[in-house]
Amino acid sequence: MNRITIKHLLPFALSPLLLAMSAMVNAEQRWQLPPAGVSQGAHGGVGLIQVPTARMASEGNLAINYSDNEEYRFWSVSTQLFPWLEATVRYTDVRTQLYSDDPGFSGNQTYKDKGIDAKVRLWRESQWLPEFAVGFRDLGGTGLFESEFAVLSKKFGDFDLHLGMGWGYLGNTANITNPFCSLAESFCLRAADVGRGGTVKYDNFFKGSASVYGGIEYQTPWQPLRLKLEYEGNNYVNDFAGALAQDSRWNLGAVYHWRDFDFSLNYQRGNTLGFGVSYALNLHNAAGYKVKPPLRDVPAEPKVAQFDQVQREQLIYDLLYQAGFLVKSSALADGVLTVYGNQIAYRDHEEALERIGRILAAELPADITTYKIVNLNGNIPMLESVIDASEFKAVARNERLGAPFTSTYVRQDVSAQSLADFKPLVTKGFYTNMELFWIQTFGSPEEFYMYQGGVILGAGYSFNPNWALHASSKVTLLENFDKFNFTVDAFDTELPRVRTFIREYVTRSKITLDTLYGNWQERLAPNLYGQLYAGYLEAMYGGVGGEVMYRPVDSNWAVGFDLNYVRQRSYENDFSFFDYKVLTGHANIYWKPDFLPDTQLTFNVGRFLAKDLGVNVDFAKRFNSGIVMGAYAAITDVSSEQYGEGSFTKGFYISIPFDLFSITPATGRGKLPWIPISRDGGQMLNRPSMLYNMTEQRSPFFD
Amino acid sequence: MRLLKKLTLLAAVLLTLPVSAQVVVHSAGQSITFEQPVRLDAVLAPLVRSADIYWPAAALYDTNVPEAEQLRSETLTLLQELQQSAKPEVQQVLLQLASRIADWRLARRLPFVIDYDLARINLAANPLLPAGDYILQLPRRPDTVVLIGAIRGGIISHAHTPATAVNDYLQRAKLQSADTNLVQLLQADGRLVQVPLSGASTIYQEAQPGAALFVPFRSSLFSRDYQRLNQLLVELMQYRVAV
Repeated sequence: MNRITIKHLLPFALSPLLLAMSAMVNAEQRWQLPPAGVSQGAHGGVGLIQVPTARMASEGNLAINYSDNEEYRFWSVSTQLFPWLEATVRYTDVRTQLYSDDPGFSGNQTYKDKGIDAKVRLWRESQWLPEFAVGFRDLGGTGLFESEFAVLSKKFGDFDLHLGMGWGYLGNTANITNPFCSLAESFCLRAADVGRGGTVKYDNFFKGSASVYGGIEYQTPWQPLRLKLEYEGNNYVNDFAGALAQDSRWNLGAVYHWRDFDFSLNYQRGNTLGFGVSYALNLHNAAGYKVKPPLRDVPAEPKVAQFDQVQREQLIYDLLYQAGFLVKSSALADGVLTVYGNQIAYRDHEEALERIGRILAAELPADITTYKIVNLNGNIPMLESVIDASEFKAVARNERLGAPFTSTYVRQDVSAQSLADFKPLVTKGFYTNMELFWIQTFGSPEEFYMYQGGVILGAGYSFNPNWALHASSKVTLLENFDKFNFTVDAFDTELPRVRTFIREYVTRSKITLDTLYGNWQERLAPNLYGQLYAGYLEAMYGGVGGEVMYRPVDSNWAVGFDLNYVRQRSYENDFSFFDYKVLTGHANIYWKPDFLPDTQLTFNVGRFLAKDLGVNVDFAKRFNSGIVMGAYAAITDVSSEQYGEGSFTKGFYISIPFDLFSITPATGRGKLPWIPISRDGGQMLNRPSMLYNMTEQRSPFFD
Repeated sequence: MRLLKKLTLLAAVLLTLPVSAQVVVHSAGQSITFEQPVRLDAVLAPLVRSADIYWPAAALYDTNVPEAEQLRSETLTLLQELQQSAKPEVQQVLLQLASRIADWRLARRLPFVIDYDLARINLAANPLLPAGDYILQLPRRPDTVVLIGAIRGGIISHAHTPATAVNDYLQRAKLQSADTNLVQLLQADGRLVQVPLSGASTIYQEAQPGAALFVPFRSSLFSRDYQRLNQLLVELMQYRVAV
């Protein structure tokens, strides 16, 4: 069950997102007939109908599935994170059971359950050997479908044969003795306790009754049609929906593939008709149509002989409109032109630098031999790219046998000379901004999907490059949070309620003061950045805090510390505080390991809002399209009993570059969170600005 | 005296400079020399008029490739080592491979599409060739596919047939100890395509005329030698100048 999510800023609601995704172009054009792919099972994840197979989808595949078989409706999203790892999340609507016995609590809503599945391929199929995978269904949920399986798949011509063994839900018929049971007595029985959910019940793995299952898939001569036949190991006697009649253990089905959709129809248990639809997109090659200005040609002879003759206003205009680079300042000395600015379009750093370089090479005289591009964040220097002008021109004019532009420049920390020469013309003034936000929860008792959307209007004043005062107001435009029938849960909790008053905060008023704080930021030393902030820092906390971060250019790690003394804000009005005060802070370690491609691990070790000590671990995987999928979990000294439902804080998110939705090149991204249950343990302060985001361009992960 | 010295020096410079800055392009038995770095369109101009050229196989190679020679000697050493312990069937093939590879002409295929029309209008398709020694290949449409690796004969030419999957070329030629789970197809246009040929990941892939198909040797669980050999042969194959 889903209770509460923390505030997150979102650019898009889910539905326009899907629409836009379906409009994306598939970059891969095929001349030959594509091989018939694998398809999703009823529970989500590659499989037959009820049972999973060892097959995997193509890497980066994201499938959004709906399937219906009378008693159950399944909504699921399945992602192929790595070629060997499939992860699935699922909501199940149990149509025969109510959400709760209390109509005042959940009305006539039927029971909802969420589940997470994982499947790992251990052996690839080869000429003689089958593919072998092991998987876990309904990990860490309330365990309605909790099962483990090991399965083999082998293809012969147009037939794909599968043979597996299931434990738990998949093995209920016990048509075979659990092989582990003969090894150790403890494997013979499986605990039936459903528990609070949220924990992975390792001690139940591969225990209790086991069954052999299997099946066959047939690719018909008509390419889009595939047929499935399976023999399942579940007897539906102990189903949550009630004991279901099973007239046959054989299920059969058909899948029709059309564009990015799979439509399935099946006949289960010898008495039930089921159907489903699945939409797939590939996170690696999702891309949109783009309209860009053409790349500037670099002429053999420079246009002008002297720097005085350069049309500088036009140059600045071109840098903005053809390279997305907003020039803030520049300096010229000894044949070195240094240009300082903000990259506001072109998320691909190499492309941005190529465009800047081409414009400079086309317009500047030959006696300027080095271009230094200093990227700023606000007005703080972040990164310096030193371009060797003559090499750059040679590459641009195709005189280096196809050498890449990256061979013509070095990215480095901002040099002392560049810092000394940085004299921006305008550093003070008012600014405003607007962001869209979207908060969503799935599986609330009042309504399955609850949402609140609107805008966050921001305004501020910069006193100088380092100091600014910022305020923002949250304006709700669209919501169904008025259906809440309680604002604080009834659980007894030993922990201070650092987050569980969330419903009070988000329903108090359509317009609330989100933040109001002063902020100081500075580059402290080579590779070292720092900031201080004080005021109303987020919707629920105000106080003072600071952060330092060491982040070398193009390094695969970074480390920082933050420390904050904060007080809980009142949910009764915009400005007052409750009594709860806490000193919270973390050591923050960011690491992109070499052995996992395009992956970032983040560790925040320290003291959390409820004064609990521990670590928050975040795993983020980037796909070639720029979409990032992530998951995090906080493990602290709060026991799962103290924590309550969900047992510990965890969540998932997907971060999408705006560029995918824009017809012109853009930077920036939005984050769609999914937080199954969020309570008071392992909660971090939402700091109003993070040095890691500010310094992203020094060693980019997201773009 | 001083003047004479200067003149001598000048003469020396004049004599050596053109030599060091020369671009020499070998194509179809003839060598063309350019005194200056030259763009591709100028090289192609005299060669494209009459010839019946199969453009996908058109290629430009840089012959200054010490790394390829290094690769060749490493491969030959490994082939020799493996011969000692190989089964007779494989031993024979390793021998044949070694003798053929020793004769290969090696060069680095430059990553350009050779297209005379495109080169004339688009700088991006018209690279400047700096001083050096190049091979330009403008072949007629080849009528074979070359099979390399764990096949009878080590390296053989097979007649190219249209609408034929790569698997079909292998059926009769492959050795018992060939690993056909994943073969590597070097298309005539220089793309290296991984072709899985077993189970659900099998794909249908055709070979271009003039393509080279590498069939790996099955490697043992206990020794990585054949895995290493496969790796070396795939790398080396990409340096091979198809004649």
